[in-house]
Amino acid sequence: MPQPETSPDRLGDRDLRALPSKYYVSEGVFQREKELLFFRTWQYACHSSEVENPGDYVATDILGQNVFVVRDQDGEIRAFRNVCPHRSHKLVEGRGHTTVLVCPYHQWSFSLDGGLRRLRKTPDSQAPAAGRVCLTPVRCDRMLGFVFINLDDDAASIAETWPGVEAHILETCPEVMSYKLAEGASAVPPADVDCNWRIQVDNYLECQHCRHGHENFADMLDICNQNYTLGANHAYYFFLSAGKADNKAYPLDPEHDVMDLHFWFLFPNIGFGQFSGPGNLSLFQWLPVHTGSGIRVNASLEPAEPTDPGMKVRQALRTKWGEEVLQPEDLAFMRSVQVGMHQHTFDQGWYIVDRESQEFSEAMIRHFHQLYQARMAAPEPSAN
Amino acid sequence: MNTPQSHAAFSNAPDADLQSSFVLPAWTYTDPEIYGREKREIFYRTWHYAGHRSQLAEPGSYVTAVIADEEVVVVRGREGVLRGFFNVCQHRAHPLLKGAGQTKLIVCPYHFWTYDLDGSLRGVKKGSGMSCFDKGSAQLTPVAVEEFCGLVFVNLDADAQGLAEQVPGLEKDIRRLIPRYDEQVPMQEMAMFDGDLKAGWKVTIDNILECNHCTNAQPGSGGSDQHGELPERHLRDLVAPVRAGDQD
Repeated sequence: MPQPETSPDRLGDRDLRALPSKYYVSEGVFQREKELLFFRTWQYACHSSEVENPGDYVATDILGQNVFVVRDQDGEIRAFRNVCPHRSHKLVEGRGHTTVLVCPYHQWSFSLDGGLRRLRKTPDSQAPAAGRVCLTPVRCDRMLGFVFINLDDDAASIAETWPGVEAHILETCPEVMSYKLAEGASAVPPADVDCNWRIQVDNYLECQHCRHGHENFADMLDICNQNYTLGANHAYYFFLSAGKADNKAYPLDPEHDVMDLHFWFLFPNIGFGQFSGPGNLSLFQWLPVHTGSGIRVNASLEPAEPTDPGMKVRQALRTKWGEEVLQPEDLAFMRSVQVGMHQHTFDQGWYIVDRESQEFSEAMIRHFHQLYQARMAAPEPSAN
Repeated sequence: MNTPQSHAAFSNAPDADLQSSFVLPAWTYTDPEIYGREKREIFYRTWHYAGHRSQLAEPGSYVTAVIADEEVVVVRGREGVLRGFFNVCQHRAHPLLKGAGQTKLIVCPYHFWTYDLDGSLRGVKKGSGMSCFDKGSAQLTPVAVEEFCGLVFVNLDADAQGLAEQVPGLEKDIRRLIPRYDEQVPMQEMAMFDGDLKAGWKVTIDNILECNHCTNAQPGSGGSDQHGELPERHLRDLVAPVRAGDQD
């Protein structure tokens, strides 16, 4: 049906032009992203079970800014800059357990709430009073058992940043709170991905390439039955399962497995997904290393107890499929796009927007880019 | 390595007066900024070999080529016209065709955007609720193509002077000096000169522009072959002390 030019269902050419390619290759853009996005948004740090007991800690970093998460004596989860106020040495490495945080360089020691306990001096030394020195706290919040940190002290809470998302995930995947962090998940290093982090996010946010690019995945889904919703600061999409126990991706057990697929995208760089198969919820975090390279952090939850004797085998087959089929297929596309973004006649691509079909629509990419550009247009943060 | 004080020094180096002339300074062989300028000022504005006429004989036959960071495709249209394009999809920047071969349409492997052999956008995957855009507003970006002595060249600068015009008399010389030139076809095995030399492009060209080193180094080039070393080895030795010269 012909529609007037002003209708929101008929977008003009300008509204369909994608984020310019300079955003995928520019060093200056990368520096601004650090300041305006990654140092000012909620970033995944660890799962709360990794800091289960008082004194458990996990060291992490956000683009080179070192932070650690620790559970204090009262059971509260806290985060601090992982840097000694004395001579800026790193306080803790990796993960572990301690009653006192001791800097390896000059042995300044701190309690688990960040207060200075002791520094080495004689009675005649001139030294700062203990009350004047403490570790620098970092904002810390939780969602679905995952611990997030935010380097911006003034940032809104997770509930305010992504309103309703946690409740929606719990409603859609009601078993999630009984899940535990998948066995061995803490030991899995992030995957290196040699393309810009937004190419990874763009690829996650559309399934136009699925039917031909992931043929076995497409066989598992009822690929026509998918849809999406855009939230203020997130997006959600789902695929109904084709209900095939035997399909070209990996075997399913309709009696014990979750069948439909649900994905959430939390601006700017967090994904939650439930795949078909044994109960699961995966967290993804796409981070830049540089303009043309990034990492993908993945932390997955699984049922605390096997639902049936065959569950472990089906889980292993799904993991193998992810590692050996799905990810290499996506990686080949994403690497090629990175090369293309450098071509000097490619200035900007196009969005295909389709209100009736997630299969063909790239409305979520467009939404992501709009949120991104709004953030990147913000004035530079003040010098302090 | 000597660090350049400024790039102005560069323009002073070679001189028309051979008595007082110096060679290009070493840093011009290794400096990444110089390489960036070379790409913009030289490689993206000059003619580069893409393939042989015999690879592009039939309608729909194509070859791809890489010029520094840019990829191009040359394809013969259904009506017989040879055209060249940047090998990049206008949708999400994915490269379009690989290697060489034969195709009816140019189809992007990522989301199946489909282009005609003349570069116009022909089809986009979409559903019924699609927000339409004018297909005429997205098409492949053309590059200049010229067949010269049966060799197909491309130039990213659409306004460049034609290759034959730039080298008047060369075609005539080639046909005079190489008997039965038009009967020759590309060698199947190109290993003799193909490959990654691990040497900057200027080192390589300097090496073929003199034969001062031929009598004592090049096996089979007329001189003594006492060391049995390959020319490639010499190129590497030349570039080794000033690293970062690898322009793969």
